[in-house]
Amino acid sequence: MKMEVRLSDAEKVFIIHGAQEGLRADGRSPFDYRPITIQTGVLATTNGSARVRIGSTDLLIGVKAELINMESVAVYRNRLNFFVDCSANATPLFVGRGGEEFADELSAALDAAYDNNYVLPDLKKLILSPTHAWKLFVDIVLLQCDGNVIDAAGLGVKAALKDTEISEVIVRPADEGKYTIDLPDDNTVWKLDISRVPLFVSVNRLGTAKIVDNSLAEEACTRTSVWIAVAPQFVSDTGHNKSSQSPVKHDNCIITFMRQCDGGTLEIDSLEEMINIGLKVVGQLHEALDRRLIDENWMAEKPLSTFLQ
Amino acid sequence: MSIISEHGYRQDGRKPHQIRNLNYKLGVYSQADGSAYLEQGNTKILCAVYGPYEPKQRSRLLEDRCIINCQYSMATFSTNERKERPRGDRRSLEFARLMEKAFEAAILTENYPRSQIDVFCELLQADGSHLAACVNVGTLALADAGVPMRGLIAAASCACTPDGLACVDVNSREEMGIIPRLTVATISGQDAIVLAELQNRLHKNHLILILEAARKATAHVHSCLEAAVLTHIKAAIGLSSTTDNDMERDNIRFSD
Repeated sequence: MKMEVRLSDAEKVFIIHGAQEGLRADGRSPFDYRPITIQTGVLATTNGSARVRIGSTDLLIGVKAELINMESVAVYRNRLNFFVDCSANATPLFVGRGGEEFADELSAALDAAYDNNYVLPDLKKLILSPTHAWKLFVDIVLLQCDGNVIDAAGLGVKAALKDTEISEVIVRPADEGKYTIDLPDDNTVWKLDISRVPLFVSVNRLGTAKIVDNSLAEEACTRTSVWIAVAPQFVSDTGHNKSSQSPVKHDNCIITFMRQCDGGTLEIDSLEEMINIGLKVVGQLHEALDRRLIDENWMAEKPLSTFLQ
Repeated sequence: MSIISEHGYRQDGRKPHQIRNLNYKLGVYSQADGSAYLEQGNTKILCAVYGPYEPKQRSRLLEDRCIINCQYSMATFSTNERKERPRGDRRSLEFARLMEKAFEAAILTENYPRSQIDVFCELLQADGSHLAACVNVGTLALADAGVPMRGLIAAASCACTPDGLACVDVNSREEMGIIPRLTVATISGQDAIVLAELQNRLHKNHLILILEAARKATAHVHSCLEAAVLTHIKAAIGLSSTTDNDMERDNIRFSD
């Protein structure tokens, strides 16, 4: 881990033994998350935005849509473009270019998890003409780091994509086979379908224990960890019509990304167990986040003043 | 296309001498030694202060006083057009150096020999007067960190119209290409200037005029910052004011 938290060996032994007993330093059980706070619509200069806090970890996500000209639609990479900025507010180690290695690791994980045609079907609608397309930039600012940044990034990106609004445009043919783009008089916007967007979970080995949602102290004791990105698979996708089945179950899911981080070694049995833990936990995350995002009272929370609360 | 309309108002409805609303929050983050959040109109900045602590680079260490290290960073989504890089460009480095000089003048650096104080500003939403807002949020964060200073630094920007009228606390629409803009920071809103930055050409007959207007604006800003710190201290030590319910929520809204 890139954060600098110094623990003595006795402190590490205490944390590891506690985790193996099913108790953590803050009283959580191995598969408990710290309180998660998610707000959308927190920035006025973006097409979509969200703020995520897991414990003290704080991320700010903005989505910007830019209309670009391209040579040909055949060579255009129609994907989300992730950029992670580790702000020095999180730690003085991130001054200047200090956080770039960690930021690149995060953005590479997000790129890989979203690099398929399944998770965002509306990407096809971003192509407007043979030479024009919307390009979506997803920018993440890490404001405070208290462990488990990848889970917070996954939650925040889904919330920000849910909040994203893209203007409808009029495409007109012009001379020489070119096209012009106009804005209609009514300011209509369309929103992305986020029902298949993946969420991340980081499963960590402390001694023989496997836990989720590492705090900073626990990350200092982690031997190895596995990052998993899981997208829900809906009943209609499989072709079966079992109406009694809930939309998201951990046996109905698609893993879009998996990576082992922080070195260490893993037995196949341990890896399989960690994957199963991750799938179960991420199913609960999907359910909780979907409930949160359809909350109708979110306007009462004054999201533009999120830092004043 | 003038800043001031024929009726004497600006585009956002202010008079030339009026500053925008200041919203603040101190102690935003627990991990930093001091932190503050400031909204100056629609300009929103987060600041974190670390230190005084022992610097890792021994070559920068000073035997008689501490060194101030500032970083200014603009989030890539903070402007209407997306920025490619949050920091490292010439303007952010210039802002950081200007802030360092301003804070060095106000902080009692001789109290902390062989130490370093870091001030990190992150601009979340850009709407003009970025340097002034960074200095204001930095001084709030330093106060939250308990760093002793000669006084709160208050900064304000001021633009000059072609007919010599001064408009304080410019927003992004007023920061047009050729409008001369002056950013001034004073200690305690009085006459000691610790930062002065002028952009574009200005007739010398107008200089005293906008200097005076900017200094008055810093006095207004300082009264807001002082009330913010006072309210935060009262909340921290358990006093509560019954005169204003908003003060008890540690969330004050000021307008000139």
